Amino acid sequence: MSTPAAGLPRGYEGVAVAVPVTVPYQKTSPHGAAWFIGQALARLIEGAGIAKADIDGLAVSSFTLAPDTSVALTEQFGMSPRWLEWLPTGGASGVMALRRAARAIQCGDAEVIACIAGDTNQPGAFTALIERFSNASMDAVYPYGGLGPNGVFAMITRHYMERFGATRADFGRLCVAQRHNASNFAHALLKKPLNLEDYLAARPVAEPIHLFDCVMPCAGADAFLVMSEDRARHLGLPYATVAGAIERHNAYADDPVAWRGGWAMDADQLYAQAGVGPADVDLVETYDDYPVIAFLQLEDLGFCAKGEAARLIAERPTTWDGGGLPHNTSGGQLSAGLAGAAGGYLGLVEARRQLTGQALGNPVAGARRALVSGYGMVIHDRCLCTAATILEAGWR
Amino acid sequence: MSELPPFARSGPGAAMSEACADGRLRLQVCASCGATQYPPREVCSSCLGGDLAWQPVATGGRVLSWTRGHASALGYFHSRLPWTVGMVQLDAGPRALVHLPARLCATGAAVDVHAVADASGRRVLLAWTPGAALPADAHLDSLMQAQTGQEQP
Repeated sequence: MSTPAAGLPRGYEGVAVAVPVTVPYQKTSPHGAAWFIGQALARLIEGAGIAKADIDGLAVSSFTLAPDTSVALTEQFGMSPRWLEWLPTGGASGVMALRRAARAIQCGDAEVIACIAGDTNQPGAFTALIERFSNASMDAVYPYGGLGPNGVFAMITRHYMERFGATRADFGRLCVAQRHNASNFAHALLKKPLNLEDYLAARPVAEPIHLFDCVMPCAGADAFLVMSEDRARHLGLPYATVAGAIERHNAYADDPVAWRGGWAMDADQLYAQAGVGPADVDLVETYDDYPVIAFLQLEDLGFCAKGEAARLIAERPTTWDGGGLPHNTSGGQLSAGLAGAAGGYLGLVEARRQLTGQALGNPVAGARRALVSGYGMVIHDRCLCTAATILEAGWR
Repeated sequence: MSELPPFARSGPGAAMSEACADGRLRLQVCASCGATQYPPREVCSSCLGGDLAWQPVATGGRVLSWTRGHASALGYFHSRLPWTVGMVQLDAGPRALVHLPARLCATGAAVDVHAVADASGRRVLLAWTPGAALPADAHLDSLMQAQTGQEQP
């Protein structure tokens, strides 16, 4: 490891992110979460050309695995890892797993780590999930109409619109661009063409949020392997490297209504660690549980000034092939679907594919550097977890 | 789907419902530092003190944002849609998601917050016209359906 610059954490030198896999999303499934996570593990093993016993670290994220956690899966999957993580942090889980796995690799606590997020979606499961999502939700959110996350993010969206003058059409442009991206992405569940008129005419769900501002819960899994660059090369595996990564929890708790996230607190460190700026990023994968949250990430991570995201996406097309700022190139959750905790992996796995010429669709020409951000764990007024990473093309 | 609003609460959440049984807003106040808490907690989020007493607090507040919900995960509310809720900045300090009658759905609107009984028998927070008394035996359903305040003639 190189010596860190003053005040910066050590870098992630020597770490490879390899073998991005997806267990195809399905609207519902009779299988349990362990089925999806197990299928992802099998795909990782097959993709890497290694034996199950070669995987000595396991990080898992899921909402529907309860009462089990990752340790129960070691028995079910017949593994005996020496490093184990359980990260039930939803939309931030991908970057958080990557950060922890990278440090374990650097320190020699494990050699090949499988990072997996997977969930099932059975009838009534989403209702059961939001019913008992957290103590705060049970006490202070769910009894207030049972609106779920839609209600919380409707209030954030209204505040953003009133504060910064954004319109529904501004959010619509982002959703329409992501649907365009989804049309070429095999695993996306929502591919029906969407135009701005369709978006604006949609039925209200929790005003000002309407149908196409909402993600569709589904089943599926996403995963990747973390190992040393040396190991990846030895195995002949294309990989990306980690130029920087941040996470922050319960940021800006005193903001009356969330108009920024923890990314704003740590973006400078992220770019300093990576030695680049927003202008050096070739594609961006934000966590798009709702379009307003994608706006906050684009602003807080420096792609434009606060309140300027609408202008940014009007000036720089966010479609994969629009010549602007390719964003959520696999359609994001708004069009691919929200496969539970896998939603926190979707952008990371997509960016990882793009950087080594392994995109399943929508290849961004010459993509060398990608920024991926995450957002997870809704309470009564915002989500608690924010995270982001910058990945760079490694060896292919 | 449930025919009643949710009854499940955490330990502190259930305690709040009992503390507010007379309809008066009571929140946890830290015995060590005086910070007022919401949502209900086990420890003070300011000083980590573990002695949080339910105290009457200022009932005034201001609407920070609101929504009109057209879809609910709960059968009880599904049959009463649209349902309006808002985020209120309480004068007592914390913010709270509250049931918000349609006439008060405006950013910046001044409200009083009461703890009213819902159909499950839990006390829930309802925003109401400032200074206006709630009708006797006030109940969430009837209050939300009332389209005017309870101004006295």
